[in-house]
Amino acid sequence: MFYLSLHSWSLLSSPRFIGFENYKFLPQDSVFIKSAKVTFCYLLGMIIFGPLALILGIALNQDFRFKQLYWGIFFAPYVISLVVSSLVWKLIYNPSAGLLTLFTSPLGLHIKWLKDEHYALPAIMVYSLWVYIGYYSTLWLAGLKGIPPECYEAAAIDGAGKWTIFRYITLPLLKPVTLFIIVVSVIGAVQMFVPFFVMTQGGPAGATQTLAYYIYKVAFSFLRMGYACTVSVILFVLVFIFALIQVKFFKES
Amino acid sequence: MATASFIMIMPLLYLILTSFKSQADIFNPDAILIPTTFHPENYIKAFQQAPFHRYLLNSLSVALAVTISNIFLCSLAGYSLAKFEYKGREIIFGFIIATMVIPPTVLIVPLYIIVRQIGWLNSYYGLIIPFSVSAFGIFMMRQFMLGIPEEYLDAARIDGGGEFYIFCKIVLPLSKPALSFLAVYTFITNWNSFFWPLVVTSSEEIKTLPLGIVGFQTTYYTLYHYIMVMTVIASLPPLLLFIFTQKHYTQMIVAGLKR
Repeated sequence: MFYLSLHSWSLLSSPRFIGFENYKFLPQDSVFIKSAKVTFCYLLGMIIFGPLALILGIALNQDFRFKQLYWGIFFAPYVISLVVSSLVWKLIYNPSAGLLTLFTSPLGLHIKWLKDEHYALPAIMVYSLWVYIGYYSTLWLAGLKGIPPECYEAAAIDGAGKWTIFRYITLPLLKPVTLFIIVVSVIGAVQMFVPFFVMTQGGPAGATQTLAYYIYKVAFSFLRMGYACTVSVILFVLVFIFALIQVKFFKES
Repeated sequence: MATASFIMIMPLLYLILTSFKSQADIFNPDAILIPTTFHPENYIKAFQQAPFHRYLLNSLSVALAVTISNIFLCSLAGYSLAKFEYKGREIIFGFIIATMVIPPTVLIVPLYIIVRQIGWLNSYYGLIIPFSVSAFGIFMMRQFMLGIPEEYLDAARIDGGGEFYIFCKIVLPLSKPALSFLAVYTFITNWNSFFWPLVVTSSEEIKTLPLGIVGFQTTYYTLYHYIMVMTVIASLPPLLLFIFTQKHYTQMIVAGLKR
């Protein structure tokens, strides 16, 4: 990948070495800049899910009636292939006959979700939330189950309140798991491709064109493999640096 | 909880109900949720469109093989990275994480070239081996195993347990929640895997389920109801696996360790 980013290659002929030309083009490529912004927005939206999923995970750690069933319902969306669930949600968002219109028509809302510059990205974010909330909650749950019960008992004996227990026992003991979830969710969000491909194909005026989708377009539509690799390298470097920072941050504490 | 679950389940209900609709009903605004006519024969007809029994078998074999392989290899690697000290450990770990960052789109081409040169195109080997270990799995097992208190391991060593014994009798049982999640995750990822099987397989005997489902979408029309039918069927094995592993999310039990 690094090697190819220094070439110009259309997949139809052999690669032609062009040195750092590809990289020089990057800052001038306004589509690239816009994709980066879109990706960043999407990423921000996804990061908010982390604590949400943790709350759900804690809830799932308690025992209550029908817990297994609720847990299963939250996890089920993740089980369906992304391609298909994206298709289903595309139907749901359909402004004339979609499922969502059952709720928005009475309110007088007539928004063309996936065709609207301002609503397309949030629409995909809601879809992602639907798919992944159960997945991430289960991850948190697995982490919570790894905490030995004696810790909680000892704290209770010392008279600690619920919030104190959470802050000083649960959270610190969850550190390795937290690092994992943050890194994995960032990598996942940045690489997310299927819903953007199925639902909006880069969206109304590039509103949902993430870096991952842009890479795909450059590589397979514009047939510029070399440049696609260049963008991939940049993506890779950014996320890798982020991951390193995270590891360092979690190591100090 | 109840309200949230209701919202979560709506699209799924829509999926199931649409699988019973006639073609006209899919875009009928008057029949958004509940079909006007029920067509259970969709289920039989969908199977007749392509050799789905073969696709199912292939998907099942591949997904199971990859899952089992991952559970063994990733837990071993994660344990090594978490609980043993050796030179270059951090570098190896960093390298493993780095591989996760590469966009899959870009990875496909070199991987295809390699698989073709080995001669594994259009075979189970090509579908299974490249995914028999995952960086995600190693990363995950390492993080979860970091949480296992050293005292448990030291106590076992003092009692004279060999390393492999410790791994099997102490580390693995304590990692049950993590292992369960890894099993479900790996199975689902492989079961639904679309792009790689698309690239690697060419003959009908070895194609997997997602490839079959996509076949319902052509340039002229999309047979949504058959897609829904197959999705409902396709969702069952992963869901069953999930339900089966739900009970393995157990709290670290101390009493059982003090023998």
